[in-house]
Amino acid sequence: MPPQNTGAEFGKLTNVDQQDAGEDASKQSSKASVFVNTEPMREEQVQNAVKFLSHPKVRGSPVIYRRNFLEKKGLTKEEIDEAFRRVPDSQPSEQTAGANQANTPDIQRPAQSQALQPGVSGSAGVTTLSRTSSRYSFHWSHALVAVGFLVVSGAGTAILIKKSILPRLKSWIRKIVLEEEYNQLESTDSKPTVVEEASKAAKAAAAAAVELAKANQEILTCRNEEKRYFLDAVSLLNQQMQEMKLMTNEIRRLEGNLEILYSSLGQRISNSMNSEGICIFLFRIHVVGKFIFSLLENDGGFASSSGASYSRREDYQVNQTSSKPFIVNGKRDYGLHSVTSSSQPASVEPSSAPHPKSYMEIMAMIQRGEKPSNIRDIDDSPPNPNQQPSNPRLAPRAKPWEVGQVQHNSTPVFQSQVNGKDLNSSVLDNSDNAVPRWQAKNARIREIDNGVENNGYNAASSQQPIKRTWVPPQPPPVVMSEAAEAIRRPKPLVQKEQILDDQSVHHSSDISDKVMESSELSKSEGQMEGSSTNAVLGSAEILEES
Amino acid sequence: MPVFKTPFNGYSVKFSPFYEDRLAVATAQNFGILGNGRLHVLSLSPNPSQPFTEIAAYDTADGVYDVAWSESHDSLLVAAVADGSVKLYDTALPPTSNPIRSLRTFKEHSYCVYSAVWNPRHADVFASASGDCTLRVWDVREPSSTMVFPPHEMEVLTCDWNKYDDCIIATASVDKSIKVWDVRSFRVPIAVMNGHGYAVRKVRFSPHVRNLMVSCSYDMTVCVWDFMVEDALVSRYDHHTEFAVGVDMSVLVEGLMASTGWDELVYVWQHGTDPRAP
Repeated sequence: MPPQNTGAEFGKLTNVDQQDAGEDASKQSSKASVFVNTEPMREEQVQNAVKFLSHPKVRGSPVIYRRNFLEKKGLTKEEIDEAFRRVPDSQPSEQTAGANQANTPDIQRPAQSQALQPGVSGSAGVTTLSRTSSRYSFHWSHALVAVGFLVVSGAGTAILIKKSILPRLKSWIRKIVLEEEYNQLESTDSKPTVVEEASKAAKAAAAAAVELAKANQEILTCRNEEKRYFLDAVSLLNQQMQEMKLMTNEIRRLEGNLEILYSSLGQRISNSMNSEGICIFLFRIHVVGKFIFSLLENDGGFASSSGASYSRREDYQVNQTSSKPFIVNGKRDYGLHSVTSSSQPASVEPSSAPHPKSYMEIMAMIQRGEKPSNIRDIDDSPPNPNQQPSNPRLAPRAKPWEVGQVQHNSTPVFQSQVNGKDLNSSVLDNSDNAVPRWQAKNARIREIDNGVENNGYNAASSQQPIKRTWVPPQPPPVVMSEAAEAIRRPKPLVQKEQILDDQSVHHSSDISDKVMESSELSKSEGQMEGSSTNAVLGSAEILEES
Repeated sequence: MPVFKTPFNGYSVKFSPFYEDRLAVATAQNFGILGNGRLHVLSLSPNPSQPFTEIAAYDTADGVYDVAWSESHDSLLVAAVADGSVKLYDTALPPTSNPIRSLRTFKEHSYCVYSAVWNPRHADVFASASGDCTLRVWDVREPSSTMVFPPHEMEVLTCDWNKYDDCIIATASVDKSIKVWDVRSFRVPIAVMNGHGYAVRKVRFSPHVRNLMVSCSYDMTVCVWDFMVEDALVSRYDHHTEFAVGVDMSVLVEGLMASTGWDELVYVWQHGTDPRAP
């Protein structure tokens, strides 16, 4: 269907929307035809879908995932339904599955008992049975077929063994026995070989002993080396411990100095500085003190552990420095380099959007199973499920795309609402826009904002401008004049405005956006002094000017 | 430009079709992962020191992901809640009588439904976009969906009908693109718009200009597009400091837009101006 035709059709319908039901019916029928797929079914797609659905693995999955897969491939509803219809019983109703499963095993067991005796033919019989049985018990019959096959094959091999392999075994054993007898005959002159064998054995034993001795020696040397390494390591550890002790001593000394300083400064400050300065200074000292104490704690903890923790301590200290933004002279002596601690990676997953840090924290919490602490128990169920909504106070407003004729509906409906001050005054800003239409809108609203209380004006104009605005040639000066008029004359303007409105409708086609220059505005305002008749004339002049 | 700070992370913002100064904001605690939710109804005022007044706020047990105003009743609005329920609120009734009730369910998608939009010209037709990568068109008079097609290879996060041409629908997805389709020939899109750096979260057609649409994305920007033009991007606003997840254009005031995001801020500005300007 070419788009233009349907567009025109709908346009006409909306224009004449109060008319006969016949049009409504046609509108509905055409509506249904637009939002329903009108393409014919594609046989190839249906066949692909049938193949997909017949696959045993697909059979095991829930229907909704099968449908979703086909939808993702672009099949229409009709094609999907046709495919489901073609694949037998591919729409499982799970209730019948149980009944079928109960029936088919019974059928198959006697069949299998018969099949065992003939042997291989029995397994074929079972498989044919399984094919004809319903697919709900497919799994069952499959398992039974496997069991049956195993039993049959076991029986077959047993028979085979009995029949063919045993005699072969017997003959082979006989052959060996014969060979042994032959060998025994030959073994009478074996005595001298015993002596030789004994000497051979002795030599082998001697060689083994030599090797053993070598191995023992190697072990000894290794042990010596290990001892040496161990001693080296122990000495290194001792060194580190001594260094740490030195550091703790230094820290303690400095801490002592700091305390002295603290107390002396405190005295001096209390004499000289004002209270705010004292607080800040004391806070700084307090922070410094805390840092030193924390360092001390760390050192106390790590001194007893192995050297592997040395690097960890460095990191911790580095973090401490980065988190406390102050300068302490003694800090440098500890050799704490100011390394910027690695900031959180900007993107945790390279392919998806970077998430805020607190989002990642919350995700981590949830994954660990903790619930964030700020959740309250809220009961948001409807207190009265049968509560009726209140009566609407406004009739629905016409939408900008509903291009229709001007309809003078009852204005009283609108008078209760839409105060001028509500008209987005805060938004309106400055006319720095390049686009004249938006400028017009802003200007109009700003004027209205300047103290309009006139509901009647708003009622008429809110109805009107919506329809007029969406017809591109807009009469902004008319609107402006109305606004200015409204400022000066709050009350008896309803009739005048309707006259203006009528005029504006007639002249709307004449007016372009360029009229919305500020000079024009001031001109129109200047003209609107005095009585309402002048105002009418003024606006009429403007209209004629353009 | 007025800014409103919500206690929770913003998810959706809608202008009221009846009052130019009224907005509804859907928010969820803890970024919507787990927590309560709140639905705010705000009113813009000309007073510059207090640009927003809160008319009503409704708390919910689970996050509110989306909100929609009724087109026929001036004080009704519907909230889509993360626990799967749809709640109806009436701002004209006292807060203790809200929510009014929970409504009907259409169950056909196989994964979460990210958005649902009524057709502006056909009051019984609506479309839904889902994480199962399909778009479904429904008619409330029919028991099941009337059309289904896969607009994207990845999850479809949003959809919106064109207000001037009732068969044109736009979809946007995790694949960072926005596609515009005609439902009568849905095999090939009318237009494909790329330009966002991350998944596009919401798309809205302008009620005033036929070809104009606005979108917001996880790249923290709000973009305005014209899909009939070769170079579709009209303007880009990057006022948010976190994901921009909700955007709307006012029906009553041409060019007025609002956006909300996970930085817990709601901005209202005129197209062409700077949202952050005071």
